Amino acid sequence: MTCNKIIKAGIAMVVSILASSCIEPTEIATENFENILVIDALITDELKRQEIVLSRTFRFEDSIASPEGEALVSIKDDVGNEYVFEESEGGRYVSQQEFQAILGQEYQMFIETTDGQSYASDKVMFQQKSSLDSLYAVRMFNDDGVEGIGILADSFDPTRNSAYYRYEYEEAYRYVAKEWINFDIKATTLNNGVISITYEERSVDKRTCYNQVPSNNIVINNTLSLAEDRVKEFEVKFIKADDISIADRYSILVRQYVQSREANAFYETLSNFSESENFLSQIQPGFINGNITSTTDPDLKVLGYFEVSAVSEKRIFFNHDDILSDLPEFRVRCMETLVPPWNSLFEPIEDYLKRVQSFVNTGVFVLSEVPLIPVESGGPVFLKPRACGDCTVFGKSEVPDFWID
Amino acid sequence: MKKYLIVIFLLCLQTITSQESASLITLSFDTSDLKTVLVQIEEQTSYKFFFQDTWLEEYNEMSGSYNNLKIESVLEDLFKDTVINFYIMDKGRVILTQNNVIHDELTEDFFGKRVQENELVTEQGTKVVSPVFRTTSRSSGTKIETVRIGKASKNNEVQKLRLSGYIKNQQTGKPIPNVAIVVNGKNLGVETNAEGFYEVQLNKGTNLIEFNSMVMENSKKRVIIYNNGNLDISLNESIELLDEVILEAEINKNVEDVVSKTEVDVEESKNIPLALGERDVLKVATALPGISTAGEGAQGYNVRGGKSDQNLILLDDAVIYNPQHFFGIFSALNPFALGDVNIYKNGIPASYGGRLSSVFDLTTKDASTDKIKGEGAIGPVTGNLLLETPIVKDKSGLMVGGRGAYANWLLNSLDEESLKNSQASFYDVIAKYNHQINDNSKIEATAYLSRDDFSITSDSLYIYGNRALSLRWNYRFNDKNSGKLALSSSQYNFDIEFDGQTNDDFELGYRIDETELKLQFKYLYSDRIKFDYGISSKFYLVRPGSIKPKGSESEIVPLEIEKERGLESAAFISANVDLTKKFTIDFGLRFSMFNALGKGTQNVYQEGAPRNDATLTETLSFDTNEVIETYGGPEYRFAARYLLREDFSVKAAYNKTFQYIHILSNNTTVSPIDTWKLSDLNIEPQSSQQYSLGFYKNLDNAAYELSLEGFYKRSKNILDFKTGAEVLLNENIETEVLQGKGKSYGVEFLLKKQKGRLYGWLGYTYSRSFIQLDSPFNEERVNNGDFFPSNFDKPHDFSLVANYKITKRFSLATNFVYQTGRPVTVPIGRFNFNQADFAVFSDRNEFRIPDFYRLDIGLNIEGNHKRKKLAHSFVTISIYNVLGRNNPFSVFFITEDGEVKGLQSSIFSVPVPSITYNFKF
Repeated sequence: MTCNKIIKAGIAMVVSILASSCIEPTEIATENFENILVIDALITDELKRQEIVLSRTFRFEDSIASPEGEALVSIKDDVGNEYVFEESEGGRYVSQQEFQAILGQEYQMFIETTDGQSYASDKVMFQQKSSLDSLYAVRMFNDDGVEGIGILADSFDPTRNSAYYRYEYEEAYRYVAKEWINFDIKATTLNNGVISITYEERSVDKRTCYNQVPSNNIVINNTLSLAEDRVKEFEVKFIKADDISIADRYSILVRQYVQSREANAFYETLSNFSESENFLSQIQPGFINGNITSTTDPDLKVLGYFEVSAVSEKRIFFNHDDILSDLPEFRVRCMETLVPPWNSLFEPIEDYLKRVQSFVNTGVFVLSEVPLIPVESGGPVFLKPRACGDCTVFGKSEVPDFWID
Repeated sequence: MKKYLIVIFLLCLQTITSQESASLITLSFDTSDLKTVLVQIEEQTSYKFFFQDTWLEEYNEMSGSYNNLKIESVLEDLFKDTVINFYIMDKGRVILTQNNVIHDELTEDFFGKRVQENELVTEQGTKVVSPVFRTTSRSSGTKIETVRIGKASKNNEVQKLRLSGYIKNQQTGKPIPNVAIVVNGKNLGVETNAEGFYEVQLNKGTNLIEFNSMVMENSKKRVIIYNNGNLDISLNESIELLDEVILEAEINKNVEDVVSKTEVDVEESKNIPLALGERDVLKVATALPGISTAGEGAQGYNVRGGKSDQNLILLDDAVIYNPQHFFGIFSALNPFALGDVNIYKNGIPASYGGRLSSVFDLTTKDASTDKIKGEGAIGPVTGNLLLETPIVKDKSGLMVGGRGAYANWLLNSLDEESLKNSQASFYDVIAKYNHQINDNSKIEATAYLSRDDFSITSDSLYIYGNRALSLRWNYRFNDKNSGKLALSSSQYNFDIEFDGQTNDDFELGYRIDETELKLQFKYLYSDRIKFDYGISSKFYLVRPGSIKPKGSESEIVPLEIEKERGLESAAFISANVDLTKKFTIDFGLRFSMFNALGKGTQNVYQEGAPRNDATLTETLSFDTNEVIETYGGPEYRFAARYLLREDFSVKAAYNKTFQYIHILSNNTTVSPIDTWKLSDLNIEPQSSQQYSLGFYKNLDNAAYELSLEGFYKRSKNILDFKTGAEVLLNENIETEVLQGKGKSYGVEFLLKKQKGRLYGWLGYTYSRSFIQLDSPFNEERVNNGDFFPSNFDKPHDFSLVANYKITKRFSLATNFVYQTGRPVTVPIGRFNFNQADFAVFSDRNEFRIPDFYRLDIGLNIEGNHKRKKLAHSFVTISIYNVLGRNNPFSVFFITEDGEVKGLQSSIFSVPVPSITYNFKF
């Protein structure tokens, strides 16, 4: 996203309309900040303790949303059931009992916050089941011509009642530190000020790790203009060939939600306002009204959506070499670093040890090989970037429950 | 010493002595020459005549008979039909003079005032008998022949004298028609007729008369006119015509015009440096007060705080929906083909209608009817060629022009990743045929086509284009009545082709067609009252969108949104009345009417509730040509001008306008894929009222034009959209549309220098533009229902355009623009939703992007001025955005990896040099 201001001589001058057009980051300062309640409520047809998240808008200068605690949250259906929610952790509310959305029933959400405001959602009908028929990984090029893997979804609704889809996913991948050795170097300063170099065993856990990443973008689709409710080869996610996540073994869990038209429109607007499709023609942004309003003050702004959706999910696994064996994978550059060696003529050994210690303690490096000559007598120390020998840089060593090798 | 009196005195006179006696004369003669008669008188009396023989030579068939008459009576009768005057001195001496009259006392104004034509211009002026004294300028370079016409008479009170005669070709002896007679540098509009005869009114005294003809060598005569007379001229055929003869007519026109219009000098616009050396007449117009764009890469024009769909852009009477290529960066109109560019933003004549803010009346020039001509330009991005050829000599001609961009292959050859998948190409062609059937009848036909292709990602291609056709017949019934019949047809269309990897490849199309028939008459009731009246009717057909599958694998179901049809009709009349010499009004009334026509369906929504699916009560069906809804009303157009002085006037105008067709755009600036929608049951026409008052002053003989004008405008039913509305292919668009009020006001200042080596203009506008979207329902309200600045509200707008002619061949031009940054909507914070952060937007247009300023410099080098050469050429070297100012075009906020980022875009962030070669033959 940096501006290429260097106009390439000759032809670039000719096409400088585009070459000199540029998009660059700009500082955002919050002006006229408004503190607004944000409601993220999704009830599904899974039988579970359903979850609703309440938070507040926050400034650009702040790093994280402040949770909205101690609110009274409940959902009522049209057959007289009321499901009361209780706060589990800051801003997260879970239903006291397990329940699921039932076809044909209407649901409405009620919230009372500690500042005395009450909110109610529109009544939302649960209308359609979702069936994610297949999920598969295909080697392909993206719009920019970069090769990689596309995670594609197929779905079919013979009843023709589904039209709007939203996808969420959770990626997980295995990462192997290819140059793992079973020793680590330690440099500790003893009480008498002497630096002691010791070696200890490096855990096998640091050889293979797993990382899990939830989706954080809006993926929506509709079959409105198609002859039937058939989602075919819909690209849920594209991963570039040299991405770390597909360096070894990869898994993705995709959840497909069947949405109402209104819910889809809400997500679509949210998505339109937060991406730049064409910088020459900018969509007019504004405040996005969801389906929740304040019952105490109709003019009070509230953000978010109360959604009752059917969900179906699928998980797939694949290895890098299954699909992309001929393409280079993600690699950490494992160049060896030599701690500047001891100069026996001009410096005492203590200085050298201090140097070794300062390198080791940065945490950036791991030992490349156990020194043949003891370090205390000036032996050279070879180090490598940590990621080469320690996978915890990228993940955790615990194998996830769902993981299949 | 500037002037001196020349009295013809006794020069080599024949003296004839005579007795001194006041005797009466009895005399009779038949076909004898004048000299003989005078000799006879001398013989009878004691009078002696002093004259030059040559003066009398031409009078040799004198007949007469006098009986006992005084000498005065005899001489008066004798010289009646000659140019000879006489003066009787004491001692019986009679001095004859040719043309002149001898005064025996000085006139009142002899010393004080200069005897000059200006003073005599006041036609019914004073009764003072102004004698003619010849004034000559000492510094006259070329020798101009002096001709004396008529005989002065002592008591001639007539200020205006008639000079008539025939103009012949020296070589062939044939009469020359259409020779313009320019008197004292003023074109009085007099020309010779087909027989070469002319007649012109002159002020008594010395007149410098030019006989100007396109085909003949021009001739100048200093005519000292004493009385009505005759002057025949023979002109030489012109050997070479170096440049056009520029006749400057009506120097105070800008002050005197009642309905003020903004004119853009097409020829002069070539000197103004623009991006990539592209000549763009309309972009030059945006350097004038009151006309602006939302930004460098923004399409459309905003006139006096109006939206960009509120301008009626006409090319030879046919509407051009989008006169711009590539997001407004290039003009889609061939600058070589244009003749006149007039923009009405203050008072809109009643003959125009259908848009709220302005009329851009562009006309092509007539194709040459006497020789083949051509004009071309080669620039870094486009090439342009225009050819003219006579079809029937001196009667009809054809002009064909084409322009194309060839930057596409270069774009692809760049190793810039972001540009690899972009492409942009465009072209436009224009053809015009004009045929002068006879003096009273002329036919013109124009055809225009433009097309743009662009893609920003590899899987989608956008195509848009205009088409315009017009056929015009001008007919003059008689001196007082003339008429024009115009048939025009216009089309705008765009297509989006999507060819991705999945099963939803599609082609999406939009098209609007309109056909108009307009009949317009002019009637000169008298010198003081003129009428302009007529009728027009326009038929619209809109195909709002259709989508169809592309490729055999696509599962896209073809969908077509119902067609819209409408008929917009109007009758108009306007009268231009000179109430007094100084006070003129132009009163116009236009009655316009719009019928939304079937076939189609219209949704009816519950009253007093927001429009959405839930409040839909019924859907009405209409048959073909069944009237769905009729809108209309009177549109008053009033303009008045009062001349405070000859070169100083005050003007006021009031305008009411209706608009029945609207651009649907939910973007901050208009884009080529925005659709036009007709008014229907749920979408009412827009209307506006504008009041304006202005002062116009010319200084230094119109070398400087100065104007100051203020306006206030209110409009109703301006279209906008609910937040996040989906516009394209929306079957119930009315549920997304908001209609609100507009308000704008401002003051425009313009100083123009037209003459001299340094010329150009300086404009400054302070103006504001607001929109109000209010409703009882929260979802239909924006910014709490208060007025908020529109997307193109730029309070301060300053522009300077200056040209300096260094030599005949080199001229330097510069442009400077400063504008307040346009309003944008920025976040008031962010929120976390669905595991990602998003920006919260609140009130619309509360923030502004940084101010815009830009300096451009251009150098024009004219080719040599050799007589014999293939073509006249010139080269323009220009640097756009010399200061390299990174002017932001927009500011926007995206969510990437769950985090909100602010970005700003700019179009030309660095100096852009370019060189263009132009030629003309």
